[in-house]
Amino acid sequence: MILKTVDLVKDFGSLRAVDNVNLEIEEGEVEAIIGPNGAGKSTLLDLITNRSRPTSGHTYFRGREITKLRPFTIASLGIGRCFQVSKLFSGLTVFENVQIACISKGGEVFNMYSPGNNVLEKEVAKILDSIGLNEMADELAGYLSYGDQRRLEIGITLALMPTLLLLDEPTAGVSRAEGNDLMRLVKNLAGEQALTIVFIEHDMDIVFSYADKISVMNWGRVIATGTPVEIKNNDLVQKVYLGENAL
Amino acid sequence: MMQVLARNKSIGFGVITIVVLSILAVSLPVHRVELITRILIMALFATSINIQLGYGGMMPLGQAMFLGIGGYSFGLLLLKGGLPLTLAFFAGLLLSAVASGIIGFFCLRGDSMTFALLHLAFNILLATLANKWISLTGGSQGFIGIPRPSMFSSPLGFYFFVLVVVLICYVLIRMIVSSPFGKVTEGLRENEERICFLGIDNKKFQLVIFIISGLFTAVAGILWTMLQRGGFPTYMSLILSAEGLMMCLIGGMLSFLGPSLGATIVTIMSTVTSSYFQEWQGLLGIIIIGCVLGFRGGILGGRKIKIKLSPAGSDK
Repeated sequence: MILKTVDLVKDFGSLRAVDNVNLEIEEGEVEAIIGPNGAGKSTLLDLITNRSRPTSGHTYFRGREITKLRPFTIASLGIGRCFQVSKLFSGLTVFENVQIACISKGGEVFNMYSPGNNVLEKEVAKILDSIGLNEMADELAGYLSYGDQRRLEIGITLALMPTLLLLDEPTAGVSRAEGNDLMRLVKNLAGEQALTIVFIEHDMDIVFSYADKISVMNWGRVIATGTPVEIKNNDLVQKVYLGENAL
Repeated sequence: MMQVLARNKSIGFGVITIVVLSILAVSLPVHRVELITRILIMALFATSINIQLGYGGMMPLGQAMFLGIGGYSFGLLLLKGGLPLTLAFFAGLLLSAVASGIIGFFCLRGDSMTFALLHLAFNILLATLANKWISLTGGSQGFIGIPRPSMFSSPLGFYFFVLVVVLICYVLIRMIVSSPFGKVTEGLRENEERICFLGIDNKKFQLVIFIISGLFTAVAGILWTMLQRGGFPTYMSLILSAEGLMMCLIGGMLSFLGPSLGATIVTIMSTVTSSYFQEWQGLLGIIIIGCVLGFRGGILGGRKIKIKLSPAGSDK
């Protein structure tokens, strides 16, 4: 088991955003977290990466407790995170965006004396190649189309060579075709790098085509976990989330 | 290949600048030589601020305190500690590094707004100390009797001394901002949270930027003390802190030489223009409003334009 949460709780005032979540993610799995808006999905990812501190509960990564570690430590342990709204270096070029991630991975952060422009060029080129942004290397990240920004965000995160990748709505705001491209890209790369993936998604087509396992959240709780077939046939899930027409 | 070319270009540019500055100095009357000396020191001050401001996206509202920290620790080690000049210079820098480490540690406790305000608060605190701790600092009178290096004691000699020190600092700063460290610094300006989620301790990193910036400001402070042959609490005034930021803004904080250009303009205005036109600071205000509202990148601009990231969705 690569990731495990035990009774994770997050209160915002009197609102319980995440309510006793016990998540168990197996190595190599692609797990989707679905649920209506406000179900606590993004908050759950925030708790895992300690972007916000849990009110109570514990998180374990490869058997080691990471609940109270700082976000950068958690990132360096191998948990990559893509946000719902891309967090890029928008005033820097696509190349530099990936390069900074490679500098971090390569332990060159405090190197103050080598010329930086071409540092780790090969590693950067490899990542750009895999996310298909080679041609755009010299564009400013902020000028990219939304879909390409999502791609770049995934590239930056993959440059860290994480073992666990947390994706928050990777395909939100892009066309269905582009969304499928993105997910195929992620899944291919996941195969190459032996990645475990947890992703939040609203598009049921994407969820059912790419997930090995699905957890459904509602009102801060995980109300069901299972294979896509099990989830499709779960009455409770049908009721709270999927509705009549979704399938 | 491109990099070698770019590097040769900046070496060429540096050589031309040195030649021009040397010819200027030899051909100008003494009081003008002193003006250029001031400009050089202020240019170093502005460039050191810009490591934080333009590269790191931090807002050091009270950076003049490091002029004071450098100048005072150098001056007092020399006068009260009886250290020889060279030793006082380096010991002063060491003290400044320690001081900026401590001040930075506190300033970086919170977010960027907290940073700016705490920075300002430390500036006020230290300026008050310099004014009121009379037994140590000489209070509002400051202290006098700071010698210049004996080989460079004439105005022209001192000018060349400053030129060399400032150039060495420029080469070092240039090296730092174009290194991998400099790349990460720019990333920090663009998105601090992303830096953190790339596994980099963002606060520790900012502290290092802070200390580097403070050290180079301290060098400017020491040179300033030598130029004035003494140290005065005005070195730590909030006005000087503000002027430093204005230099970066006017010249262009997204280019390496922008702040130096800004320093040239502001210093000329404050010394030359003020003799014809007393309200020069009002004029400075107008220029800054123009820069902020009109051309964002300052005079030298820069390739990087701040733009809003795409719409879709809100961050939770």
